[in-house]
Amino acid sequence: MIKLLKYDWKRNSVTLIMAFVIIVLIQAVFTGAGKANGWDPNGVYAGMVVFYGMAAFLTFLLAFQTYHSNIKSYSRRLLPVPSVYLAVTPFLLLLACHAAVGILFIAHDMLFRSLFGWGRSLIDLMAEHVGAAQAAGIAATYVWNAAVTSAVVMFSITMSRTVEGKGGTWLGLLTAIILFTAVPWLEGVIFPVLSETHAQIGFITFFANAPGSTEFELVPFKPIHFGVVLFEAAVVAALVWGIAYLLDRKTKL
Amino acid sequence: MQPILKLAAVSKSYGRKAALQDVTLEAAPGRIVGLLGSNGSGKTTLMKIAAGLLRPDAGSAEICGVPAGRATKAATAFMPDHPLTEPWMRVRDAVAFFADFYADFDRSKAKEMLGFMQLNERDKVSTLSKGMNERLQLTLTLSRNARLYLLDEPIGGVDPVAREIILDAIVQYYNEDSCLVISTHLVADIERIFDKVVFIKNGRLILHEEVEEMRLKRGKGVTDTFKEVYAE
Repeated sequence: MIKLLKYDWKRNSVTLIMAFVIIVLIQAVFTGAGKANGWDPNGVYAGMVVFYGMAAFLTFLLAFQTYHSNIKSYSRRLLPVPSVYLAVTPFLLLLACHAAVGILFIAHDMLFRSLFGWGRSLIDLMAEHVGAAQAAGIAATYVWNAAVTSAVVMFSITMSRTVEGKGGTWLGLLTAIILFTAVPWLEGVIFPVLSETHAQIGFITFFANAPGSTEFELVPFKPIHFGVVLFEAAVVAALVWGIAYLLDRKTKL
Repeated sequence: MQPILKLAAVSKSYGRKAALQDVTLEAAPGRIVGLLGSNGSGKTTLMKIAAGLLRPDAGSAEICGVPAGRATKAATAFMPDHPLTEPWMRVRDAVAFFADFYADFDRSKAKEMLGFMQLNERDKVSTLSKGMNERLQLTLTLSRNARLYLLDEPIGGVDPVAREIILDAIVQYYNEDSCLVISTHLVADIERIFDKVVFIKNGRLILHEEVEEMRLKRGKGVTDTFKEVYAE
């Protein structure tokens, strides 16, 4: 699998390096202009976060494009490796890209604070309010949600390749819409909201003091809420099995 | 002797269109088999099934006694009618890719073949002409010490000079303990290298004969028999 990851990286390396350089340049110009013109640090910082968010989103597109190329390539489909590796390696590439964007963001955040003499960045908030366990919970939730999203999109792409032409594209879109709608709906049916004062996302539970309150406590890895995670794990397992089945039997080259 | 390729009553359809119907075929080691038919006759589907890329709807496909699939991909070298390389690659990347994934890939054979094919390791795959690309695909395929080689239209769309080079390379570099299946509709150019021919028409196997036997029995070569069969 590491060898496949190496070739996924090689396939995308020029694009990724160029994108990295462009992000650094844009952020440097934007932050520099903000400092030189005395712009409001809150606005400059918000713009900076939006750029990083866009970069993270674009890496999702790149990972899905890589998967789509993989399943269309004889070079990959003929390899004596499990078919599911063709989906796993773009996901690992995605995580590596997000880690790189994250490191760049932290470095930029530190530079921003010293440049603007400003102490209200996300890193400051994290340092003040989030402990090690909570940070681990947030990271696990991030990776988990990326995995669920990737499984849904990659399954939909695989479905789209089972039918030739535009019919395949529509089938893929329909599959994605159904999955992105049905999975949260089923989650809500199976695990109804028991209280208006808490909500769960992945491995993190938010406990509010009162309904509608903006103050909340962030509790990681709370075992009583793992039913939702197990349900999502079952969905991901089914989708991964589906991807392997379709690649082995139905997906056209 | 156990056949390397064994297809038993294989059928495959794409929707309502039957691509293969009840095809039974065996190919033994040391044989070069010509899989001949006009465009759309089912040659590529048969190749893909043997390469483990497609599953038959009915019947079975085995390579050395093992059902065709992931397990047999390691023993089967398939040169499809589309590139085995990726556009970002240079020739040396393509060689490294094969060496990384196929345990039977012979780097020294690849190097020798690149010289024979007049290919430069530093050339970008995307800048190669059609003929040079075919030579590269053939180099990558034949540099493996596979049990079964499947070449789908290896001389399609290349000029006569390149054709000769490709045919010479096939004869010179294929592993003689293995079986080589070549699909083509350009029969006249390639007839000389076949030991056995299989004619396929509308997804059905209509003739399956040793070349020598054909000449003795029918008094005709492969090209003339092909013309006769496909003119009907």
